[in-house]
Amino acid sequence: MVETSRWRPFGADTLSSRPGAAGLFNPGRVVGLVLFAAAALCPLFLNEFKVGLIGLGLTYGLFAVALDLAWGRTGIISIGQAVFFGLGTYGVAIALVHHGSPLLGGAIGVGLAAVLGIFTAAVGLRRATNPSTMAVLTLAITLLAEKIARDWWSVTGGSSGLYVPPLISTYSYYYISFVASVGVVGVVWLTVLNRPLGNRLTAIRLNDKRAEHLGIPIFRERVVAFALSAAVSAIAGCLSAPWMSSVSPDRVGIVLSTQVLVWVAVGGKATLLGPFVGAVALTYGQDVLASSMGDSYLLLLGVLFILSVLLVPNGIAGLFLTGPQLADTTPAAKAPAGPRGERGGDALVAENIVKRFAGNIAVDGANLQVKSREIVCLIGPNGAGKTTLLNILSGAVACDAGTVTLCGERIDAAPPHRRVAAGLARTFQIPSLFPGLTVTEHLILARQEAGMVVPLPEAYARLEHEHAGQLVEMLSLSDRRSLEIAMALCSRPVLLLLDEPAAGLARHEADALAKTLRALRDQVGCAIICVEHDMEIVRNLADRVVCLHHGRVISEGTMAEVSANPEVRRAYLGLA
Amino acid sequence: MSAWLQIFLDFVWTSAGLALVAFSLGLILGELKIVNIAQGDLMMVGAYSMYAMRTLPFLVALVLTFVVGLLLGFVLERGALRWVYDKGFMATLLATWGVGIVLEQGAATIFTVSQKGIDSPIKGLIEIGDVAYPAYRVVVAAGIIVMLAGLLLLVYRTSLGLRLRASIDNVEMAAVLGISPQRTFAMVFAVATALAVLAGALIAPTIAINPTLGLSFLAPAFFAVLISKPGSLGGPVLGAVAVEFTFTLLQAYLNITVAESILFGLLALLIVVKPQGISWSWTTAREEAS
Repeated sequence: MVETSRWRPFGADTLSSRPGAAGLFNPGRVVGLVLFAAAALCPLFLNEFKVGLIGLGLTYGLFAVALDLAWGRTGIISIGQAVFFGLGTYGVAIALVHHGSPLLGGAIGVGLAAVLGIFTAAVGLRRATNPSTMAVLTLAITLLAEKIARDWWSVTGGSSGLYVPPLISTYSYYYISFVASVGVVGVVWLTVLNRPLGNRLTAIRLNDKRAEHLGIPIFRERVVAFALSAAVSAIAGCLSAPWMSSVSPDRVGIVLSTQVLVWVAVGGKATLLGPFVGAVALTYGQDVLASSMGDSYLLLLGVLFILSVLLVPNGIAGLFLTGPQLADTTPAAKAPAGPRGERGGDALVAENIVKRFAGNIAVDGANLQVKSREIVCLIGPNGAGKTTLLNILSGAVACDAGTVTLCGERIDAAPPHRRVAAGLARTFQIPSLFPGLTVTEHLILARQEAGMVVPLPEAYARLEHEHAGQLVEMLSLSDRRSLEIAMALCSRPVLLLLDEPAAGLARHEADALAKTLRALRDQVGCAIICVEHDMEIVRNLADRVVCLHHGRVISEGTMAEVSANPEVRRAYLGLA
Repeated sequence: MSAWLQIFLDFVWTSAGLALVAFSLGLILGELKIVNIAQGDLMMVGAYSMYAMRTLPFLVALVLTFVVGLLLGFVLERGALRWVYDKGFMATLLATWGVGIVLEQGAATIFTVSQKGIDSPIKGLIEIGDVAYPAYRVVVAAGIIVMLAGLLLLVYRTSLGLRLRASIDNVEMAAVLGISPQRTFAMVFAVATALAVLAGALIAPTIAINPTLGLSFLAPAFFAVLISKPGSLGGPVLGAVAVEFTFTLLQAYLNITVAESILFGLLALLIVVKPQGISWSWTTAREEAS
């Protein structure tokens, strides 16, 4: 469920770096303050009916922010979000009808929403599920909930719903809604979005593969984000109940689920202001215009929605607020260069690794042993299984048989983020970075996950000095590769896996690479496994060369030994 | 005995309609990689189209409605969807969501939200065993089964079908072999839309026509697609039969809402056990088992 934005290297239409929007008086904050004041003062100027409308709009604004937590921030689609909202609304309404405590009823609703959210996400966001699964599940839940609310009349009052008597005066409840909605958003901002968790959610949205290989537990964080989104939706539902004269099945149904998507899409994803403005403006507009336009108002809304998806994918707020930004969570802890836990012996032992892809055997009982601080180059003709083996070691692909041990710890069943914690780091053949983030932001993420700041070797520290505020889309290929290695080094890896680090580099860059990587090993002290086709680099880089063919190791030793091996020659030259 | 025969006939009737909708949905998901949430609304368009042409002979109206479907699909693909292909899965999903809202509200604006109905062209009952079943349903179910068999033969046994499956499997590679993605996308979406519209048109005489009639078909059709392998075209058809069979059985013993809740629970369980969907093909199932 990750939004794939098109990778535009050297794209002339992207800014090379984002304009500094962190100042006190950036446009977002000014507009936010003006709107905050307007919402605080509007009861002085408007009649009771309109105040009620805006009060309801504010609770809808909180609902929209809740959806945005899942959709805009984490990239999880939910097209049935009203289920969670409705659980809160019905919780309060049922409590009021039975003369119970609305706070207790609301709390039960919020709890149920969180549980349902965890359940839905745990089913729909598992690693192997298709991206469409979550969309279908949430859609099915909202359709089902509407039916249950209609059918279970002894509890929900059926189609006609439950009558909620007004609690206190419109004006008093307006201020309760206002303070509560803005307050909950503030708490979410302070405890989630502006914290390491918020950065993780952004990272997962932008590139879940890279996030996982940085050590972020992506499944767990997605479930957390979705459960949080469900719970906040239910809180919004609780707050909205007293604004409705009757709570009916459409509170959990597909129409409200649709509306909240429209509010967020039109207002602006991944902002705080956008969903709020979208919700208040469209709720107000609906009531004012619907009386004169009727159904054609909803038609207009649909057209508006399509246009905003097609033309302004980031919504109105996205037009003047700049792209994703991370909180600076650089840890205070500093660590010396060098791998964690200096030790001799084997960094990695992989035994009898087997991987089949639908009957085609990619890796067929390969064995690989890497000593601490050793540089091993993996060579072999195309299709030998080099990248598959690397993917098995890093956990991107599960092997069918075999064991992988890192520093004496079995890791073959561990997900990628655990392997990072155990001391593994990797790069990809095509550099895998976070589109839309700057070089500095990439390093913030890497250091946040490492929990400390380590000095980078000069060849990589240079990036941070020269290209700090630049978007990664603007970097040259060799700089993007360097950035990936720099991020990998932040975790003080015991073993670094490099997949064709020289592919696509200019000759002089490739020549420098072997030297840079050997210097890196000496300085950082990690072992390296490097898949490489350029034999010149292999000759200069490797302590030991391992040659794979048809998924098996056919020869290992020094470059001279391996290249003299007749079997290797046969494999490369295709002789029988 | 006759009660079970009645249930079986109902099952055949509902699963035939659902299979057609699911086939169309699977076609769109397979070729365009789009989750078409407007699928139910396309059925709704079919029903209203038949209502608008209720004075014409039924078969003429049916053919014209199919043409309306082709045109609608072509316009939607060229006018809206093609602009979001490169914006990712979520944007395409939302675009179809938007299309659905516009179709629904458009119908509400033109025809109002009050329920409409059309006459069945074939009246009377057919005696099957000791059950008298509406003749129209028998004829339409048979027609849909024949049509689906023809479509599946077309997909799996002709060179046109081969080109389609090649394009579903790898659109870039197929493009290199001379199968234009733009033309295939437009064609596939137009045909799939027309099939969904046709399904709506065929069931129109048996239901109350209103702007949100498509919603009740949406979830089961998605279930049918979700439990089959991505990109499979025969899978959704069998998936529809499986979903409808389970649902019919549950409904025979339980209240409809409880039955739907259990169906949903079963689906969730299936996703956990088989996240990639069920392969309905005998050969790949055997390969997986070995």
